[in-house]
Amino acid sequence: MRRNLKRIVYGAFFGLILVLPLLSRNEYVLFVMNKALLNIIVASGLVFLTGFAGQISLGQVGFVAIGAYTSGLVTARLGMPIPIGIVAGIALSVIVGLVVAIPSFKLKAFFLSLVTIAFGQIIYLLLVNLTAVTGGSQGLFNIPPMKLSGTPFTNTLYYYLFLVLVALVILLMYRLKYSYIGRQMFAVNDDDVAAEACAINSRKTKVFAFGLSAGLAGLSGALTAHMVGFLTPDPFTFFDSANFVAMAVVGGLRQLSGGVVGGFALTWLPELLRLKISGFENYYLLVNSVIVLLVLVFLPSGLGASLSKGLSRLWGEKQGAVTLHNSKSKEGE
Amino acid sequence: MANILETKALTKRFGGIVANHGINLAIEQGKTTGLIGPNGSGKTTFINQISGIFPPTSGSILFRGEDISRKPACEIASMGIARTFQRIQLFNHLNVVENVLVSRCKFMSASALDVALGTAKVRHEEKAQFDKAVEFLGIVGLDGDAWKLPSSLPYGKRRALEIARALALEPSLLLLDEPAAGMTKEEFVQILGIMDILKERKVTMLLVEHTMEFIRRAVDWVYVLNFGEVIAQGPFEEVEKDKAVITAYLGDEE
Amino acid sequence: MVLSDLLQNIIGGVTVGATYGLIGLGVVFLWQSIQRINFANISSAMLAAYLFYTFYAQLHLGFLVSFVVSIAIIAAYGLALRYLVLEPINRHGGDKLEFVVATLMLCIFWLSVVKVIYGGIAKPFPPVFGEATSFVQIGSISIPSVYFRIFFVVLVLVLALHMLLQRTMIGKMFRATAQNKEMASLVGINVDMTTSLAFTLATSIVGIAGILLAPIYFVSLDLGGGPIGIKGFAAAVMGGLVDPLGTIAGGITIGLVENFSTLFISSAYKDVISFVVLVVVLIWKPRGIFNWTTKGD
Repeated sequence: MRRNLKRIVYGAFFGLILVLPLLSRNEYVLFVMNKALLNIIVASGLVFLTGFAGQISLGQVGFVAIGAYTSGLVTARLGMPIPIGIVAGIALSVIVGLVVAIPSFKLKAFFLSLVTIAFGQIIYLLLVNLTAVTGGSQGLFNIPPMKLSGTPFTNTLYYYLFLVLVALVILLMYRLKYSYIGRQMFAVNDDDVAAEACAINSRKTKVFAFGLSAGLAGLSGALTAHMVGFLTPDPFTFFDSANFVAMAVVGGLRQLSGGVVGGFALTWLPELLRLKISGFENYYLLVNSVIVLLVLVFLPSGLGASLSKGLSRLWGEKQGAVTLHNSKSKEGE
Repeated sequence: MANILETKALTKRFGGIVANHGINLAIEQGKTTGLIGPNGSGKTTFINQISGIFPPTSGSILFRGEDISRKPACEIASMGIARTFQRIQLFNHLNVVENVLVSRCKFMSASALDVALGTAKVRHEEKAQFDKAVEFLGIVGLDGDAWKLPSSLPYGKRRALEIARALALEPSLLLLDEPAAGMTKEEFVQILGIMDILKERKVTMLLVEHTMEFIRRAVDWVYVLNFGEVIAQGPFEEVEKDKAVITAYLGDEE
Repeated sequence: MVLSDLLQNIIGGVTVGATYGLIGLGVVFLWQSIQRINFANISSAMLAAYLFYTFYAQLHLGFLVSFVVSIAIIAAYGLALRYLVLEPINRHGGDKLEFVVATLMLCIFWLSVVKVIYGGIAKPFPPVFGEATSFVQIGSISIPSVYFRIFFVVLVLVLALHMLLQRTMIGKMFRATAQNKEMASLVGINVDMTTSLAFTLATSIVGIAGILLAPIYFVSLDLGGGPIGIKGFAAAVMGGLVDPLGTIAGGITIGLVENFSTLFISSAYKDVISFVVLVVVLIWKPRGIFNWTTKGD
C-alpha cells in the first residue's frame, strides 16, 4: 500500500508545481521561479558532468554566456528568429565544450578544474573587452523577447515553457542514468583505468558529458537572454560558476534531483535572505556561503540524497542500484 | 595449438630503471600460462604493457598476429584481452551486478539516441545484458550477492567479482594479476575452484602469481622473471627445480 | 623599446611573479601532504593583509607584533580549517570535490566578511617595506625599493622551505605522507600531526605572501580571490606541484608573461594571455614546464 502513498505524494508535488502561477499571482515570485528553473537546467548539466562522470567544471558560466550572447547577437543584430538564435546558442556552447574537453580528457581533477577556471575567466574577459561584439561592460541590449501571436511572453508563459524544458532535461538524464551510458560514466568516475580495462573509451565518455552539460548551459543562457532582454558580463564571473557547482553539490551530485533541489534552493535562498533581512544586501552572499558550507560539512552527499533516502524509507523501497531500476531486485534482498 | 599472444624482445624503461628487458613470451591458446618472480621482478609492468596501460619502450606485442603495443587500453580490451588488478579496482559506487554490467556495455548496440528516446530496443538489450551479467556472477558464485555493494563483500568475493567482470567481456585472453594474494584458506579454496571452472571453459589465461601453491595447481606452463628478464620457463615441476629460479627466490620463500 | 624599460618590466615581472609563487606554495604544501586542493588558501593572503593592516595601521601595534600576530592567527585558521572542514567532510563521506567546493565557499565567505567590515575600497599598505615612493637607481633604471625587499623576503622564505622539504626530517615526513599515507604511518610517521602541520604551514605561507603582495596590490579584495589566486595556482602547477623552487619559477614565468603582454599587446588582455598560457601548459605538460620529478615518481 506504500505505492499509493508514493503516488499521492508525487501527485501532490507535481500538481502544486503546475498550478503555481494560479496560486500566486505575484510577478516577482514567478520571475524568481523562472530564474530558478533556468538555473536548474545548468545545475542538472553539472550534476551530469561532475556527479555522474566525475569531471569538475569551475567555468560553466562560460557556456551559459556563450549561449546567451550568441542567441542575443543572432536575434538582435542579425535579425534572425528566436528559435534559430537558441539553436545557434546551444550549438556554439556544445562546440566550445567539445573544444575544451577533447584535449583535457586525461587531466586529473585539480588540473581540470584549473583549465575550466581559466576557460571561464577567458570568456569573461572576452565579454568585457570585445566591446564591438558584446557591448563590453555596457552590455548588449534590445534582445527580442519571446512572443506568442505578437505579444511578449508573460512570466506565466515563461514559467510553463521552462517547466516543460526542465521536465525534458530530467527525463533525458533519467534515461541516460539508467542505461549503459550512465554505467559508463559512473565507471569512469570511480576508476577510469579499470573502466578502460572494461573496454570503455573514457575519453569519449568525458567528452560526451562535457558536450551535453555545455549544451544545457547554453540553452539556459539563450533563454535568459530573451527573457531579460539585455546582457552584461556581470553574471558570468568565476563566483557564478562556483555558485552553480555549489548548486550541484548541495542538491546532490549523484542524484537525478540534484540539479532541481540545488538550483531551486540556491536561487531562492539569496532572494529570501534579501527580502526578509532588510538592509542586509551585503550579507546575503555571506549567509549564502555559510549555509552551503554547513550543508557540505554535514550532508556531503547533498540535500537531494537525504531527501531521496528519506522518501525511499517512507514508501518502504530499498535503494539498490545507481543505474538499475529497483524493480529488478528480488524481494527481500 | 596456436599462440594467442606473443611478446618479442619486450623492454620497458622508466627513466633509468629497466623494468622489463627483452622478454620473449608466448601464451598458448586454451592453456594457462604462469608468470612468477620475486617482488619487483617486473611482472605487473609486463601485464600493464599487454593491457595497454603504457606502451613498451621497445619490442612488440602480437595478439593473434597483430601488433598491439601502441594501442590504447580500451581498444585492447575491446579486441578481447581482459584483466584483473593487483590491488582490487572495483567500481565502488556501483553494486555487484552493475560492476559486471560495465563490461557488457561493449555488447550494447543501442545508440545514445535510442537511450534518450527510451526505445524498445534499449529496453530489450538492457534486460538481455542484465541476464547475461547474472550468468557471469553465477560462474564465480556471486549470483546471490548481485545487489550488494562491493564494499560490503568479503575480500575473497571482491576478487571473484573482479574476475566475473573481466569474464563478462568475453575475452579471448584473460590476464590475472595476483588473484590469490592475501587470501585466507577458505578463500584460497574458493578461488581455486573458480580457476578450475575457467580451465574447464578453456579460457586462455596469463596468471601472474606469488603464491606457489596456486601456480602449481593452475598452470600448464610457467615463465620465471627476475630483474626484468626471463630466467627460466617450462612446466612448473621442472622450473621449481631450476637452479637459477631457486637462487632468485632464496630469501623470498612463500 | 628602451632597454631600461625592458629591464624594468623584467624586474617587475619577476617580483610580482615570485609572490604568485608564494601563494602557489600554499597549494603545493597542501597537495603534497593531503592530495587536496584548498581554495580557501587564497583567502589567507587577503585575511593576513587585512589583519596586518588592522594591527599596524589602525591599532598601531608595531611592525613585528602585527606581523607575528597576523600570521599566528592565520596559522590557527589553517588548523581550524582542518578540523572544522576537512575532518567532518571526510567523516560524512564527502571526498575531494566536496572539499574543493567547501573551500570555495569559504573563500566567498571571507570575501563577503571583509567587504562588510572594511568596505570594498582598497586601502594603501603602510610603508613597512620602505616608502612607496623611494626608488633605487641602477643606471637609468629606477626600481621601487619595495620590490627589492619583497623579493629578498621571498627568496629567503623559498630557500628555507626548499631546505625544509628536501633536507629535514619534517620535510621527509611531508613527502612520505603525500606519497602514501598507509606506508607513512607504517613507517612510524605521525600522519595526523603531519596533516595538521601541512595545513598550518600552507596557510601561513600564503598569509605571508599576502602581506608581501599588499604593497603592490593594496590591501584589497583582489588579494582574496580572482586573478591573483588563480595565478597562484597556476604558478604551483607550472612548477610541477612538487618543490618550492619550481613553484617560484612557475610564478616568475607568469609574472614575466603578464608584464610582457602588457607591454607588447595590451593590458586589458594580459590576464587572458596568462590564462591561455596556463591552459596550454596544463594540456601539453601537466607535470609542469620544468619537468621536476621527485625520487620515486
